[in-house]
Amino acid sequence: MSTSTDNNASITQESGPSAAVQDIQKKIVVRTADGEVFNLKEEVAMEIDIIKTFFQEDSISYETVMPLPNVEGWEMVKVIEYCTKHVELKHKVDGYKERKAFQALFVQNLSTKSLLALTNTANYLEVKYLLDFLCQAVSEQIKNKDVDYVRELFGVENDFNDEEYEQVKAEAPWAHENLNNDLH
Amino acid sequence: MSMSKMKNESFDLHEDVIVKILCRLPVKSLIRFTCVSKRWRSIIISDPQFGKSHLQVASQQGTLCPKVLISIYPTIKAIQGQIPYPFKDDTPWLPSRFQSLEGYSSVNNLTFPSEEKSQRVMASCNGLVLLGEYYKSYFKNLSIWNPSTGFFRKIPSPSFGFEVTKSTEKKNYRSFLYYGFGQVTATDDYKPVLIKPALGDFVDVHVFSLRANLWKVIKAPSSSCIGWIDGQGSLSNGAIHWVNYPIYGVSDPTMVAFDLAEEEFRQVPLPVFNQNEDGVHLRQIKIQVLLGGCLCVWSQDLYGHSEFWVMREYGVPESWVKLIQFSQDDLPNEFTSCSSWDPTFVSEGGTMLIKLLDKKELVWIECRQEENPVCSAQYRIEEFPWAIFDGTLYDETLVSLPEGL
Repeated sequence: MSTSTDNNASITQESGPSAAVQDIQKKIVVRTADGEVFNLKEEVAMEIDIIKTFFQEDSISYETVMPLPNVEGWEMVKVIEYCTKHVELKHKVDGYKERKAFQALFVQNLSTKSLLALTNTANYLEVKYLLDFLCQAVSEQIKNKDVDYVRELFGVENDFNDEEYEQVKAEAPWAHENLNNDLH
Repeated sequence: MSMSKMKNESFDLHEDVIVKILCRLPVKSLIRFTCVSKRWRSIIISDPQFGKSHLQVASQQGTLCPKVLISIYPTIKAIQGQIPYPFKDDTPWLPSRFQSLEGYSSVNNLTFPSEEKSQRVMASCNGLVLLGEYYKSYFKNLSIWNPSTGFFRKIPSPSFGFEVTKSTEKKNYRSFLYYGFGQVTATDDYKPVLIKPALGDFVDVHVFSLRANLWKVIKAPSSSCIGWIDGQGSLSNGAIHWVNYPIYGVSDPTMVAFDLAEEEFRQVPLPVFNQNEDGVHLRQIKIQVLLGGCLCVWSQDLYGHSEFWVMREYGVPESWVKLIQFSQDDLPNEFTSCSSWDPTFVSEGGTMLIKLLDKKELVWIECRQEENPVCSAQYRIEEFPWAIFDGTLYDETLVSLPEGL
């Protein structure tokens, strides 16, 4: 197990011209399932509970590259983006509007499927506020969709036979009306 | 069976995540998604924990959807054109019909999930409706129903008998029984409460705990329970409220509350009405609950002037604020020749849903400052004339109760 002195030393050696600045900002390195490597600022990395636990519980040196086999590269990019913004807004007094604008942009180019994958990842990485936000975003996108759409999205098999399905549907026909099924 | 069997998927969706997403959906979507798979159906409708979580999220986010439960109690054509009287025991009642009303006009017929006859809606809490069969000045065969999910549970009859008493108090001709229904949040228990009018020093309060599946009799001093007008109590802040007229026409009315957790009575202050008019003690006072939960009181004086007051801070007498006022004459045309009317709910913005009992109609009126109330919508109960109807406010929830212990 490395000591913290070794840790600082190794960072200084790896850094470039702005060594002094980087010295202050410790970095944590993770590798995602597709082999991509990410350098996270310590304060951002600590927002991700699974990373925080990994390094803090056993006092693992920051030299160690933490493997994240359940996370894709693009997901890590998004998670870092959100957590970085969250940390930035922590210090702002009235960040409400800015947060809302950021959140709208954040989900803008993601398909519902990707959003769902990202939600799953936020759950695995244990970032509660991101998980809450993403669950809300997914629910907004699916609330007016029909049963077939939801089955497809969540990859659920229909285990009702035709008769059973009609029976269940007939219990509340009003729930199946006025839906919005544009493809997303 | 898992909630998600991945086919050609690159990620393994955790069950917790699916439940967290579902918790945030409106009830209509969730009812629809009970058709997704058997597992989803079981989680959404049959898991009391899910119903509870969903209610918590919806309450916090302010997305609870209030609806009106319209109950229609038909009878066969009466003899000699007599209008059916609500509480006469020998009126031949047909099975009750129920509809749910959302907004101004979206009506759905509901299937009542039981063979029980003549069930009357008594009260509602967190989307659960308490029903009972009115018989000889008592409600028997009580049951709990969630109209949004179909959840249904019969309540066992109490082992103690109830006396069949004749009320000698003429002023209580409308009901011989006082009742209410509410939740004890600390223990997640739901309790129907039935109270007979006082005949001696003490009055019996019959309380049922759904969690314990037990009836209890609480003795309370009858001074708390004399001279109540309305059978149905109003739920607010974990207590059921009734208006108390110790000596009608002589003393000031007060409000009594039965605390469901402590199982005891306490006084709650009423607003201070205009003291200068004559006959201040002859006001008719009825309790409503404001959409959003604050206690609201409707007072009508001898001259047909109505006032609606809201207690902004529970238990604080100074927090009573007059929200709305109008005279009988100010009311729109729909009210002409309809002296008997009853509010079902009042909203902060001055929207009121009123039952026009004689005309078998529900009307919405908007009450704005400095203006006369305006009728914004109407709903006619289409039924052959020999029926009485009622409207009860309830929230659309997925709340259910765990299997008996």
